[in-house]
Amino acid sequence: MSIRLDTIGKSFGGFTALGDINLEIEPGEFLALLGPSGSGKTTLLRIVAGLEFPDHGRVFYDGEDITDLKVADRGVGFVFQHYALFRHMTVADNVAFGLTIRKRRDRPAKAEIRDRVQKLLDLVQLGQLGNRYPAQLSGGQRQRVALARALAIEPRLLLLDEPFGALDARVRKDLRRWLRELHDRMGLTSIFVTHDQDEALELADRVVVMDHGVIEQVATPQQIYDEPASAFVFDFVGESNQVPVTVDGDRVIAFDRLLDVPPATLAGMGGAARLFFRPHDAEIVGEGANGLAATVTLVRPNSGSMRVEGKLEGSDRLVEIDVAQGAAPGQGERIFVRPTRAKLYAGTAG
Amino acid sequence: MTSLAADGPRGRVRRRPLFRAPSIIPGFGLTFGLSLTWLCLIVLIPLSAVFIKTAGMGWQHFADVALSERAIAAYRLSFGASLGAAFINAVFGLLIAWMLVRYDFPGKRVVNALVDLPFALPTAVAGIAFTTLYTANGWIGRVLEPLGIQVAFTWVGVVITLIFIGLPFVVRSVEPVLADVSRDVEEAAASLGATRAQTFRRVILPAIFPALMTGFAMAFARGVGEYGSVIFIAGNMPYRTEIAPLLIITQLEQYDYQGATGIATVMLIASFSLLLVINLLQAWSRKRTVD
Amino acid sequence: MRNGATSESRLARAVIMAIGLGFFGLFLLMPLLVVFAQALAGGIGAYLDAIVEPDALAAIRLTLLVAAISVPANIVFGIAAAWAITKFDFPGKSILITFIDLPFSVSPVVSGLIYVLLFGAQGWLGPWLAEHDIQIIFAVPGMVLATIFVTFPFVARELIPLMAEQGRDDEEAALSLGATGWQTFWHATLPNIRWGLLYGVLLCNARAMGEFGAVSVVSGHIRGETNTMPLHVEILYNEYNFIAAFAVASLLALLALVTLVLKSLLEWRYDYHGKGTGH
Repeated sequence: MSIRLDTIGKSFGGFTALGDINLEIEPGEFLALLGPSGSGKTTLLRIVAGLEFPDHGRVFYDGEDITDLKVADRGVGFVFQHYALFRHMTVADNVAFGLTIRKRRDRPAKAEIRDRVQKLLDLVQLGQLGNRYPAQLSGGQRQRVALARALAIEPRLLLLDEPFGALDARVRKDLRRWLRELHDRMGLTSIFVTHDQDEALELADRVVVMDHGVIEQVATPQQIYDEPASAFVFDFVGESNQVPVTVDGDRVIAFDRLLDVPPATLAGMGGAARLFFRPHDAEIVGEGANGLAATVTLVRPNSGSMRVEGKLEGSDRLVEIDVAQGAAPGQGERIFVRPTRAKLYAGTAG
Repeated sequence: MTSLAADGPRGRVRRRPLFRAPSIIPGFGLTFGLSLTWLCLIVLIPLSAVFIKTAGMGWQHFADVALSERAIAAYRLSFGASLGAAFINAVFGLLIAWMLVRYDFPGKRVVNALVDLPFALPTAVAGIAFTTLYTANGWIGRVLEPLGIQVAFTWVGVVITLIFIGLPFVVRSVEPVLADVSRDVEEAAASLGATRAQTFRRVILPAIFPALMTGFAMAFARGVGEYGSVIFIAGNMPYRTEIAPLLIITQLEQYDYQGATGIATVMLIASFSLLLVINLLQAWSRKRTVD
Repeated sequence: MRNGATSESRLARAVIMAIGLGFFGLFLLMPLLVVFAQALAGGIGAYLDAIVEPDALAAIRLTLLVAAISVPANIVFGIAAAWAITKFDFPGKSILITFIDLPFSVSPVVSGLIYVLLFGAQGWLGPWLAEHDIQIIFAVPGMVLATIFVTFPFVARELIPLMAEQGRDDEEAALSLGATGWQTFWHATLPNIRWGLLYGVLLCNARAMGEFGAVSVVSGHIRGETNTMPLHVEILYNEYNFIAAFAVASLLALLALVTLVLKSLLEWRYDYHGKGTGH
C-alpha cells in the first residue's frame, strides 16, 4: 500500500509537535522514522494510523484521502511500544480479538478463526503458547504476540512504535532480522519508529530523520550515513567531529590555523561554518601540512583500529580519529589532524 | 558430611528467633505483644462472646429465635435491600468513577471529595436527611407523592439510603483500576477494528470487573449491617419494614438477650462469609492488575 | 487528554455526565443541603438556641471526650500493629491483618451487643462488676469501648500498606548509624508516614464522633449524661423537634465536610492517596 502525507501539522496546546510534513511511502517499503525523543516521530506514526488526527493536512492510502477515517475502520496493523496486550485474555484470544469482534457477516467461522490464530502463532514461533496469559510470557514473546495480533486482521500496512525499545540487546537483534524477513515474506508496507540509529540503518529501506517536528532528511541508510543533509543528521547518525571554522574564499580557518579540506567540501560556503567529519575520515599529517593541532589525551583500541582522542589547541573541544594499529601516537604527543572527507554546514556551532 | 557441618561458625551464630525471621530492627516483642493483646481484648474476646452464648442455647432454641418468621422477614429486607442498592451502585458507581477518571469538568474536585461523604457523615445525620427529603412534603417526596410513589417508611426508602451508604465503596474500588487501564490497550482494540462499545465490553469491563465486584460486595456487606441511616426512613414495622439490626435492638430493649444474640450470630456469619468473599475478590483483582 | 481514537462521542459523554451528576446531586448533594436548610429553617436565632441548649452542650462534650480517648488509643494500636506487621516476617501475618479488619464487617449494632454480653447485667462479668459497683454498660466506659471497636482498623489499615511499601531500608540505615529504636521511629519512620497517619486519624475521628448504632446499644440514653451528638439528634428528631435535631446534625455535617476538605488537601498537596476505604 502506498501512503502519502500532505502538509501534516499538529500541535499540543502551543507546542508544535509536527510542522508541515510531506512524505511519500512506496508499496512494500520498510521505512524507519528516526529521531530523538520529542522529534514528533511517534506523533507522525499515530497520525498515519488514525490514533491521532492532524490539525491540518491530509493522509492518503493508495491515493484515497482517509484523513477523517477512524482507526477502527482503517484496517492498519499497529504494534505498541509496550505491546498493549489484553491481560485478561489468553494469547490465542488476544490474537483472535480483531476477528471475533467483526460483525457477523464479516466474521470468519469459529473453526476458521482458530486455524488462522494457530497459523499466526506458528508464524511468530509461539505455536505452543496459545493458552498462556500475557503475564506468563517474556518480553520478546509478548512482542511477538502483539505482532501476531496486529497481523490477524490482515493489514497491508504495519506500523510499529519503538518495537524493540523494551527488549534486551540480544533478543532485540534476533527480532530485528526476523521482522525484516516477515515484512518481505508477507509483502507488507511497514513503518517503524525508533530512536536507535543502528536499528534504523540496519533494518529500513529508507530512513526519515526527524527533529523538532520537521523532517531533516529522507534517504537510504547509505545516503544518510555518507551524505547527511544537515548538521543535525550528521551529528545524530553515526560518530562525528564538529569544528567551528571560518570560510574565506577557498581557505578554511580553524582556531587561527589554516586547514586543508577536500575541495568538494567548500561548494559556495562563506563566513562562519561548522565542519563535520567522521573519526575514520581523517588522517594524521606532519606539522608542515595544514591540519588541526591537538594534544593526544587518550589512545584506545576500537574494533580493528586505534581510536585517538585529542584536545584541540585554542579550544576545549575534543577531536576523535581512527588510525591503523601501528600508527597510533603516544599520549601527550602533539598531532595534526586533517579530514579526508568532510562536510561544511553554514552557521555557528549549537 | 559431618566435617562440613563442623566447618560452620559454631558458637558464634546468633540464635535465630523462635517465631519470626531474624531482623536487626527492634521492637518486635513490644509492638507485636501490644497489638495482639489489644486485638484480643477489644475484638476477639468480645466477638467470641456472641458465639459462646449462642452455642449454649441449643439448636432448637437458636432456631426459634434466630429463624423466627419475624427474623426471616428482617433478614429478607436487610439482605434484599442491600443487594438491590449494591446493584444500583455497581452501575452508577462505575459511571461516576468513569467520569472522575476520564473527564475533566468544572467542580470535579468537589464531586471527587463529596463521593466520600457517606464515609464521613454520621449515619444518623444521613438518616434524618433522607427521611426529610422523601416524606410527603420533602423536596423529593413532594414530587413523587402525586405520582403515587411512596419512599419514606417503605422498603424503597431503605434501598435509597443504602445506595447512599454503599456508593463510595464502588467508586473507590473501581477508580484506581480504571485509571490503570492504559490508553494503549484501548487504542490497540480500536486499531483492530473494535467500536467504542466493543472496547468497553470486551477490554475495559473485563479489566475492571474484579474491582467492580469487590466494590459491589463491600457495598452489600456494609448495607446488610447498616443501622443508623436506615431506621429513620424505614417504617420499622415488624415483618414489613424492620431491618435485622433493628430487630436486635428491639430484642435487647425487651431484655431478650438470647433472641438478640441469635440474630447477631446469623448476621456475624453472613458478615464473615462476605469478608471472605471480598478478600478472594481482592486477591483476584490484584492478580489481574499485576503485569 | 484523550484523543478521538479512545474517547466517547460528544453525545455519549454528555449523557454519561448528565446521569453521573444527576445521581451525585440526588444522593450526595441534596441530603447535605437539606441538613443545613432544615437547621436554619427557624432562623439563625433558633439555630443557635438549639446548639447552646445545656443537653446539646453536654452531648458535644461527651462526643469530644469519647473521641479524645478512642482516637489516641487507636493511634497507639495502629502504629504498633503496623510496625510489627511491616518490619518483621512471622507466620500468621495475613490472619492478623484479617482480624484487624474484622470490626469493619461487623454491624454496628452487633458491635454494641458484644459488650452488653460481656459487661451487661446478664453478661459474663456483670455480677462481678455489680458487686464492685462498676458500671460499663449504659455508661460512658461502654460507649468508649464500642467506639474503639468500630474505629479499630482505621489507623492500622492506613499505615500497613504505606509502611510495607516503604520497606525497612530507612530503619536499617538509622540503626546502622547507631540510633536507638525510639530514635529510629521518631526520625526515620514517623516523617515518612505522617501524612498516612493523619489520613487515618481523620477518618478514625470522623467515625468516632459520628458513630450511632454501636454507641446507641451501650448508651443509657440519659440526656445530659450518656448522649453523644448522634444520639441527641435521634432523640430530638423523634420528639419532632426538627430544627434542634438538624441544628445539632449540621454540626456533625460540618465535621464531615472539614474531614473531607482535609482529606482532599492531603491527597492534592502531598499527593497522598488513601490506601484503605474507610467505612
